[in-house]
Order: sequence, then C-alpha cells, then structure tokens
Amino acid sequence: MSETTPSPYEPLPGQATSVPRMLLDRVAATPDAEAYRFPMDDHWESVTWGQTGEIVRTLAAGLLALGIRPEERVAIASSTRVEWLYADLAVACAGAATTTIYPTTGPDDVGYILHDSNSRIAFAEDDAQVEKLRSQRDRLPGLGTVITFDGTPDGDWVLGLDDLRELGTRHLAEHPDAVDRAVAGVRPEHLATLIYTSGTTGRPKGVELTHACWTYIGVAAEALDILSEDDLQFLWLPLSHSFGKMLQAVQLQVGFPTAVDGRMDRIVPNLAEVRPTFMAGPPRIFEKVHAKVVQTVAEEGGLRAALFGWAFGVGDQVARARLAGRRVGPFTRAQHVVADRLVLAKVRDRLGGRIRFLISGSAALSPDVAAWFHAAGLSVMEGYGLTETSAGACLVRPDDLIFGKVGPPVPGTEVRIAEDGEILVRGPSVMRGYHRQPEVTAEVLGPDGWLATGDVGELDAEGRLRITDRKKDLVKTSGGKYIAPQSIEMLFKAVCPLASQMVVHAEGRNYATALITLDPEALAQWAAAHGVTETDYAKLTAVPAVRDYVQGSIDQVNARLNRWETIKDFRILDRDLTVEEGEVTPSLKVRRKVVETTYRPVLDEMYSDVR
Amino acid sequence: MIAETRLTDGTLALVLPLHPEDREALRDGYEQLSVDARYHRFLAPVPHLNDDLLDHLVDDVDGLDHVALALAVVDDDHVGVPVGVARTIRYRQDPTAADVAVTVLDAWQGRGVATALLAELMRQRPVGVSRLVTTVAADNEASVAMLRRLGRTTTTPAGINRLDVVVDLTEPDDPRPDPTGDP
Repeated sequence: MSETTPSPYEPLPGQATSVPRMLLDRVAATPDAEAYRFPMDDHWESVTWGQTGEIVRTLAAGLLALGIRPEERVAIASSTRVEWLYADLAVACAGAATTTIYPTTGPDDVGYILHDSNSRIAFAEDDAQVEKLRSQRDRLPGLGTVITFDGTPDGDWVLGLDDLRELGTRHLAEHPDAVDRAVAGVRPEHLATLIYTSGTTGRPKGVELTHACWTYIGVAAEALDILSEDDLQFLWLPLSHSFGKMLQAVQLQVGFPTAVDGRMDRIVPNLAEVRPTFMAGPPRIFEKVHAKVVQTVAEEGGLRAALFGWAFGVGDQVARARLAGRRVGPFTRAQHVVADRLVLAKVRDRLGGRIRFLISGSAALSPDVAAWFHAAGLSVMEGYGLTETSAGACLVRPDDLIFGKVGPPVPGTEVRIAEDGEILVRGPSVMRGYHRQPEVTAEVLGPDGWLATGDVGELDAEGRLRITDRKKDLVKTSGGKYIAPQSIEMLFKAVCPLASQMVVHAEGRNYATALITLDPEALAQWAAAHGVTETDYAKLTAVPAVRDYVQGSIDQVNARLNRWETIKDFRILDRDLTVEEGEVTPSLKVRRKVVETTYRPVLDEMYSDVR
Repeated sequence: MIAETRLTDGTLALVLPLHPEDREALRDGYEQLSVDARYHRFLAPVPHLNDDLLDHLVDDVDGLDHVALALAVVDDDHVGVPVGVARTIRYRQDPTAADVAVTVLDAWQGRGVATALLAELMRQRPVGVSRLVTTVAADNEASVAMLRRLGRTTTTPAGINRLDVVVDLTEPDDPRPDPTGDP
C-alpha cells in the first residue's frame, strides 16, 4: 500500500475545535430552536439551545468550583435521559473528559472503571447507583464527589444536581468568564470520552476518544447530507455506548431536536407520541418490531392475515424494484396503493408515521427483517463502526440502499482489507488508544494509523463493505488463511444423518482436519439397513463401509467450501464425547479445547504423512 | 416451588421447576430458537433435541444434583407461556462445583428472563455448590455479563471463541439491594 499518513489533526471544513465549541456554536446559531424534548410526569417538556447553553454553563461552572482540571475524568452512571446529556456537555465545557458507565454494570466492574480512569467526580442517576459507588469507595480515594440526579444527597460526599447548580452560580458570579476560558483551553487532541468496552476476556479496556473524534463525526454526518435542522430524532440508546454518544455529536453539528427517553418499555408508545423522522438502534429493536407485528397478525388469523401477507408481497415487489432502480408496471402500482392504504401505512403508523429512515448498527441485521421494513416503505440503512472508531466508519446511503452490506466509508474515513481478510479502518474517528495500555493498543493500532477491527469482510466494486465474520470465531491456518469451524461443523451436521459431533481443527496447521463422533442409534440403524452385522459402537466406527459413508458426507461439505477450508482428513472416534472425560460439560456444552487436547495424538497423526 | 417475578418490561412471569411432562414443550421451544441461540446452548451445532438429549435434559432432572427451572410469562388469558429454561448440574468429580446453562427464546431476550431464571436457580442450587464452572462462546457477551453478576468471576480463553468461566458464589460482590426484599 502506498497511502501517505495524513496529519492526525487536520480539521475538515466546518469542523469545530472541540465538543464544547460545537455546542456553543450551535447555541449561537439557533438559540431559539428546540434542542431536547424529555418526558416529565405525563407530558413532554422542551428546552431550546439557548436554555441548554445556560443549564450546561452553570453545571460546568459547578464542576470547576469542585476543582476539576483539564482532561480529568468525570464518570456518568445513568440510563439515557436529558440530565445525562447536560452532565456530559457540562464536563466537556469544563474541559474535563467523560467516563461512561452502564447503569447495569456490576459494582466490581464499576469500581474497576472508576479506579482505572482515575475519575475525580461521578454523576449517579439514583440511590441504587450511588450505593454501588459507595460500596467501592474504599478503593477509590481519588473520587472526591458524587452528584446524583434523583438520589439522596448526604451533604458531604453526595451532592444533588441542585447543589451543583448552586456552586456553579456562585462560581460564575465570582469568575464570569470561567467556563469560556475552560472551553478556549480545549484542544482537538484532548481526551473527550473514555468508554470501557465490555470485552469478555480480562478486564474492560478504556477506549480514549478525543474531541477531534466527535467533531469529525459531526462534520462527516453533515457531509452525508441526509439530516437537517427540520428532522426530529428519537433517542433511547444507552449513552454509555459509543453508538448513543455518536448521535449526540451529530445532533450538535446538524442541530435537529432530539426527544430523549431511555426506557425500553416506552419505545413503542414514545414513537407514536414523538413521531420522529429518524431513529437509530441495534438490529434487535427492528427484529422486535417485526416479530411483534407479525405475531399480532398471525394470532388474528383468517382474512386479516391473508390481507397482510398479500400487502407485504406487493410492498416487497415494489421495494425490490426500487432497490434495483426499476419501475413497476401500472397494475402493480395500483395494487401497491391499495396495499399501502390498507396495511403498510398502518405499520408505519406504529412508528409514528413520519419516519424517513432508520439506522441499524452495532451488529448484523438479518436481510429478511430489513426486506420486511423496506416492503412497508421504511428504509433501514445499516452502518458499521466500533467504539474504537467513535461508532462511525461506514454507512449505507439513502440513494444507494442495499441489504447485507454496511455501505461505503463515511467521508474522510478509509477502509481497506488486509491480506488475511481483516477489515482495517483509518481516519479522524479512530481512538487515540486504550487507556494506560500501550501494548494492547499497539496490537490493534499501527503507527500508520490503521486500526485492525477484528472483523473480516470484503469490499465490492463500488467500495461498499460487507462483514463476513468476527475474527475471533475463526482459526488461522499456518498459510495465513481464516477458516470458520462453526460453519463447517453446521454444514456437516446438516449433510450427514449419522453425525453426532464434529470438531474442526486447523489452528496453526496448513490444512483443516476433523474429529467426528457418530450417533449410536442412527449408526446401529444404518448398519442394520446396510447389512453390516457388527453391533458394537467402537467396532462399527472402524468398519470401512461406515468410513466410506462419512467420507461421502465430507465430500459433499467440501464441495461447498473454499479450497483452503476443505477437510483434508478426518478420524471417527471410537466413543462419543463424555462428561466423565470433561469433553462436554454436565449440561452438554462441547469443550473444544479439551477435545483437541485429549485427541492431540490423533490430530498429529493426520499431519504426519509425508506429502 | 413457584416464584413470581416481573420482567424488566413489567411482564408478569412465573419461575417453576421443569417437570417430565414438559418434554414436548422443551422440544418445541428448541425448534423456535435461532441458529445462533442453538449454537450457544451446546457450543456445537445441534439442530434438534432428539430423545437421547431430552432424556438427559428432562428425565435426569432430580432436583438435587440437577436442578432445572422454566420461566413462563402470563398472557392476557392467564395462561403461562414458557419462554426460557435454566439448569445447573453438579460435577460428579467435584461436588462443590456445578455447570450452568440458560436458554431464552430469541424474541424474549433482553427483557431480564435469564437474570430472573438465574437468580432463582442460584437460590435453589444443589446443596454444597459454591462455584459455577462452565464454558461459553467468547462472543456471547450477554451471557458472560450475566455470570459476572453472580459473584467474583474469572474467565480463561479456551480455544477459538471459547471462554472457561468460574464464578465464586461464596463471595457475592454484588451488594445491590434485592428488589424483592429477599436476603
């Protein structure tokens, strides 16, 4: 590759120097426009950008009064609500950095995150969150103050939001320019957000995202030109997650209002009340809406179910034609008008009736579900990003809708595929590194700025990315090729009626082999039907006719695999995997590693032949 | 023993022991699972529950060394609809350790079904069990997070996309107040 490495902090046209600058510019540009809408008792309240600016300025002054210094960490442990946004923006305006904590994170991990991030102040949603912090207080000498939204202040370690406001008001009376000075001091390369990723091995890792990451996300979204000040967002995603944080940055740049309510059980009623023009979420939320509607209709049965099926058939035809850039004939068009009025419009009404598009991210969306939404006239655009890329990297464009791909990179971001298939990302949204973990950082982030994502994928001729696998599901052969044992094992099970278990082995070898066990009952039946007189399981597994039969299944599997994935040799074990030997757990989960260790000599034998 | 609980979205649910007559319900429920959910349950492709498996998963439940619970949501007609099952089984080689497995219908995931099942399962766990020892798919973060909430947890990579997980139940590091008021 011959790319030159761009200067890391070369701003794009219109890119603010920092997140607080982005906010103050927004306040100055449209002070009277609606910024946030949030539930209050049984109705929705609104604040303008001007009001938001004032609230945030006072809270920021309160944080300064508490002695917070540039880039010091302030944690937020809360569900998604407007106070989360105020607190986060106040932290930014004080020149400090936010550490996000999921409200569901356990006390031990919370203690770890606060300690590792060296947080000086923490916002805690309610008494339960305060209690969690209190239980960890012994190991957190640096945590000077807790500020609670709804919880009970103790006049000492725990303050209320009102107390912070009061501190801020007094501080501003004495130092009227305190916040402006703090904002002016924030540089693009300063730490803005520290998000801990819930890795499964070891402790969570803190991803350091700078102000430039978020201000870049803002201008990149603006450059896509798909959102305007006239849009209305409904935001329920956890703001502790990079996906939610990203939407906050986009909003500051573009300036549309956002209705905020993180309560999962209120999503559907909220959509009907708020009537947003767009919403983003993980695939699960779209799958739930789909399942709910389909289930309701199926239960009603009869004529209504038939009508529903017909309408979606017509909708699908029209959507597919539109995706392919074709026009449909007048008869289909007429049918579509009827289908839309009777059924499809009602589905859209469930989401408020004004949705222009939906954005799905953070995991793969099933193409069937995506197609269903399209048939109903609701565009779902898939995106791709990691916390390590500030949640942004690729997005399907509304003028190039497609299923099963996550679109081209957003403007200013580069994507390429490494030799071994791994997706690499470079651009201003890429993290500064993992907090205090230079070695782990160096494993994924090269000196040339390319981030190794751990995902495997391919780019099509139009530069659109398709994710094919998670790297951790794959084994790498000594030839550097990836193999997905899970898919091969599934394929074998589907093809071979005698199969009980298959463990594909290839790690560090130059080709793949397999250990196979057979189902005793199926095997006995097969033997009887094929005139094999042997009945003992162990002896049956050694009968040539049995091996030939299994070889036939392997051949069928191999025919459907890439050349480097094919199973070159296999052994049928003379007994099934057992709990006693620890090869399966008592609840029958297969322990691949134990199998590979136990049968190491058998595996070695398959690689010892002179070839 | 039947425990009443509410899911995070407010749905009323019952947690009750799995009975031999639930055999067909278990078989049917498994058929409704996504490919991924089936894979995560056995960490191997098991397309259907055959009679051998059901013998183990239903008939071998003895309430002493092998405890299995089902969670049923109560629908508008007051009929319980099973949506999840969880079990813990003592290791023969180590009576202080038990394996654990939880399965929830895809459409019901993310609503606290597994958490409710595990909480009750831990209350009813085999006497003398102080550790959970199991294997999970490393990409099954929800599962790992759930186990972490039960006590001090150590995870060890165990091959491609696998983690061996040990949860120490004697030192629950979770002093969260129990919403039901139970100690």
